[in-house]
Amino acid sequence: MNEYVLEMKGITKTFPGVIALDNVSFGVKKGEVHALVGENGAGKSTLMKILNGVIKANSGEMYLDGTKTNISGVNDAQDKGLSIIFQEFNLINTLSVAENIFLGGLNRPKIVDWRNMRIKAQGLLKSLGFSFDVRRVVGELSTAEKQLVEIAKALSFNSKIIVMDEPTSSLTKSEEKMLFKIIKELKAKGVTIIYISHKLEEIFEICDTVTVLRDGKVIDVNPVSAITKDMIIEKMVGRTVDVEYPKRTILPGEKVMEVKNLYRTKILKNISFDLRKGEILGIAGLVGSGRTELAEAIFGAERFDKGNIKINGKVIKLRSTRDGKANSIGMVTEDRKETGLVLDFSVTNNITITNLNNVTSQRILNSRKEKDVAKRFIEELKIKTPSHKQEVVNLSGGNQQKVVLAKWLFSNADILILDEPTRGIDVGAKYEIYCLMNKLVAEGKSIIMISSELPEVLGMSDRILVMHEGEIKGELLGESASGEDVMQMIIN
Amino acid sequence: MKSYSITNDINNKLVIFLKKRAVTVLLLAFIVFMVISKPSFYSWGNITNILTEMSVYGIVAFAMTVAIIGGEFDLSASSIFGWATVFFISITNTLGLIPAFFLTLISGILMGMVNGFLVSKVKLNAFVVTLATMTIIKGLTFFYTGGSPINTSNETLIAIGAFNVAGITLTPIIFVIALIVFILILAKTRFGRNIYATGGNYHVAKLTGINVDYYKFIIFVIVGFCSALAGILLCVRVQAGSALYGKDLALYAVTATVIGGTSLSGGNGGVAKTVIGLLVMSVLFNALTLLGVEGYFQQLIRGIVLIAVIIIDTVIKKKNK
Repeated sequence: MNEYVLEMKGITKTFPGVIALDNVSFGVKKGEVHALVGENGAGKSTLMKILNGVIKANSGEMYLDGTKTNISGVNDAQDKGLSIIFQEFNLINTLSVAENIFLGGLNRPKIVDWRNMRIKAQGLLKSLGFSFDVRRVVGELSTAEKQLVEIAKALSFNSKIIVMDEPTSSLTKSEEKMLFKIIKELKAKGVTIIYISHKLEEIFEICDTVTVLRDGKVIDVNPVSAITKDMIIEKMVGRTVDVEYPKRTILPGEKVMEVKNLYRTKILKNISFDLRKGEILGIAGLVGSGRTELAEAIFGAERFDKGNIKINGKVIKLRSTRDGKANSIGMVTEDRKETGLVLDFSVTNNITITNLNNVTSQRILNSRKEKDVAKRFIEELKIKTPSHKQEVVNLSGGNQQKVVLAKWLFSNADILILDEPTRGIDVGAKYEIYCLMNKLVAEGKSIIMISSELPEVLGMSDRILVMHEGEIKGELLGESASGEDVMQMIIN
Repeated sequence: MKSYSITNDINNKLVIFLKKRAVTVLLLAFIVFMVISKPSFYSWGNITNILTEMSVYGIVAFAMTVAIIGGEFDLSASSIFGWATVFFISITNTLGLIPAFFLTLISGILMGMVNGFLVSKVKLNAFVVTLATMTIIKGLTFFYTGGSPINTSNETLIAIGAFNVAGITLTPIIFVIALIVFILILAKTRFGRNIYATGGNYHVAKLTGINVDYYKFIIFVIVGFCSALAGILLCVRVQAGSALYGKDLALYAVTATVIGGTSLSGGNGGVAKTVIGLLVMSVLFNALTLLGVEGYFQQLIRGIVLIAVIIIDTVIKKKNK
């Protein structure tokens, strides 16, 4: 029975009014990479928080190496060789790499031995196959490097089990490759990894076993070799999903936006393109290619030095986002928590904020009108929320994203810029957002979609602009383009 | 744990209510205690006294609450208030009451505009900016008066000061009007909602097409205006101005706001809550005076109450999570 390094048996956790985990049993074998998948709200995070000792289960038992254990908190978890690397890193940006690695170190002496600490930190990075100056401040590192620091930190506790929560969500393709290499090396060293991800392709690349959670229950445990992507999706959502990207009939109308020679020193180089009515225009490119900067320039959030933008044939002035909004442009930003939603605000207040004049009578806000608007969007976009008064911080990622969309729909934007519209949300909610995009263009709106997920750009766009180093390298038709075509354009 | 009985549910609701309104509940309990133990507390004279005491600073506390909701903070309110008292009295003595009234308000607005410009356009930190303007305005006021208080014997002003309805003077009336106006603005207008959004998350507000710079600017104008207005109201009562008036005002206003339950991180709270904070402070000190506690000692208690309230608040918030 000792083949399991970790076993959780019969875990049940209820929150007021919800059963988050219902008699869940979860076992991980030593040295394997074990994928934990499920839609948002399926119970993955709750299970990991119980594992980490952050929250207590109502019932159930936990075994480490076959012995029954109780984990009382994060420090206890670390003592017992458990580390979790969350999507939002737990690093202090103003401290150095070495300090971060040994922060909260178990036997931290009262007086810091800097030399020793640096040597040890360097050693840990080296064991992962990397060497960079551990005196560098973490705030200056790239996302991938920060992740490396997190992994080194986990190793500094001699972790036997490392949980990675959506580790690739903000990595570029090549960084992703690097991470997979590290995971394989860790595995070879006998470290067990629990891998949480929405990107199912990754699971087939590096995982050995997959556990599917749905509505707080374990639906299935299988070796990866015995299962297909479609089977996993089916088990996650509880129904068959016919196509990943819903089809639509393309009705390209007249030009609604013409961007000419947009230039911003060092960032954007003579960008020109048109956007037609009823069209989804995809922008593909690596992180840092200027995609987001372009979107911000079109919306008025960032300046540009030269060039002009025409809306419906007329050159517009874009000095601020107010001008963007006034010209019927809306922008769903890539980070809904930081730049998309006021998290303390209710669903209602987040939606109506773009167009408060529409819910006033004699300049006084009318709460009944606001409620009606919110209820309309909750119904139309199938936003899952206990009430329109619920604070958005309590909603799942997919539902938060729908609220951001609702807010721009309420502003009556005709041109919607969607920056990473499905980042970090589950398959079911993704599909709903794709359907919604199709519905919007069918209604005559136009969409510019930026995405790091190539299949998504290829599957959803009518035309694709390929960006690299602030330049448009070429244009492809969504119907016929392949991932290789896009990569070719970037490389050449 | 799957079913809840109805009584349980009501109990839960009561507990949640008590937790959310812990400060209010404590205040009411304290008032009941005072009414029973000290009959003079309950006299009409004392009640109007409490109202008058809290009204002058209260108007500034409302403005400070708006600033804090918008994610800002204004230390210079103290100095603008002191400036307003001497400027108002001196203009009353030279040009007359009505020019004094308008010129003082305008001067408060101008000072607020300077703060607002430096914070919203030059993008300086509000703490530093208002610390500097606080010192500058205080210096200006001392320079203007030569350090000594100035008086007036303007008869109209004395008459306005004496005006009252059943012991209620002009100040509490204006306080209540200000309260209603602020509640309406914050809860019921686009302007108010945008202040919450700006304070709740500046970047989100900006990327939503809200003119965030304007709201950051106007916050300071509101504080400047209210500080000047409160200065005038004090002059109506005491017919004198001094650079030393209002030196604890800014911190008093912040204290009342925080005790009331408006979070210093911005984006939530409201002026009705601040009324509770004001009541806690003025009722408590009135009571302490009636009970014969020495003035210096009251300062100490004020600090302890602030810390205690914040601790209670934080502990409850943590528990609710």
